[in-house]
Amino acid sequence: MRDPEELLDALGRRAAAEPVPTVDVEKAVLDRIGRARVHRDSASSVWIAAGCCAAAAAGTLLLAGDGTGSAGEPLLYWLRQTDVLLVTR
Amino acid sequence: MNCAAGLPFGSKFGPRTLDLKSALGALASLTERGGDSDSAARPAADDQEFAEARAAAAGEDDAYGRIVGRHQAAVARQMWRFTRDAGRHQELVQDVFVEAYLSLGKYRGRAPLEHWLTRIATRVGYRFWKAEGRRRRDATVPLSAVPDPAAALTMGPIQAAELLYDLLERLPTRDRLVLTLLYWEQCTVKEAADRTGWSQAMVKVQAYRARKKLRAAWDGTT
Repeated sequence: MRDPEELLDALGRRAAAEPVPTVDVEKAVLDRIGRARVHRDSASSVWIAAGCCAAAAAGTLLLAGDGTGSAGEPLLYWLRQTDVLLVTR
Repeated sequence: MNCAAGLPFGSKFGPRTLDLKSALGALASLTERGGDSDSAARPAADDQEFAEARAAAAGEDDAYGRIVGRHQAAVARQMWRFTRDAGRHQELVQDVFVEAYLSLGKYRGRAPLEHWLTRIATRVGYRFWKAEGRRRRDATVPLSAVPDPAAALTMGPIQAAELLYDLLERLPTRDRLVLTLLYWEQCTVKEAADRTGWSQAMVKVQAYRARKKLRAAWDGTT
């Protein structure tokens, strides 16, 4: 029976000195963030519309604050993140 | 981003010394930013970096560009444990910084940005392994051909890394992660718990089970 701990320790110590490929991702990251921002802004209006419909159906008036929703997130999560005032009719 | 280098406190390589000025500075930052019990055990972000993170969160791309430039080598080192494919590696490094950007609003400066990025990188890598699932490449080294520890110590770093990756790739994702952190990243149990969000007891149990599985696999080959 081999001792995995001893072997893993030995391999880990040697492998830690391994050279790593250099990366330069600054531009690619900023591009992706820019695209995400556009997507998020257009998604915000969808969420606001959906929120107003839901609020109307529930008998409440919803006033959205800064309108910063996030794409793909459930409405309730977005409501918690945004400056929203719920007024009972 | 090696644990021994990335986390100055609680390292199994021994604590680093801090001069009085930086210790007082860290304490003042903690007080200002309302450090919690967890953050009290480690230094806070330096003021300049915290200000830069706030600026980036407010939409200043230049500020975030500087953060990426400063930390990309460390993140690249960490993500190289999660893949051996150069193309996927680039994507994973990008994923870490995009995810970090989207979470910047939650960064309170209670720990250095490097530590915060390390936790995000661990999450991104773990998700990548889970998604990769059955698409994993076949193991290239039969267990019967794995050398003994003394021979492993004489291997070249790249050869040792390939073998370690190959060995750990056979394990379920959680087992693979905990052994990667403990042996490859050379984290202490506390550091591994910090990166994964697991308790220290969970890290120990997971590591024990993972080693047991490896041993059982070896026994099956002899």
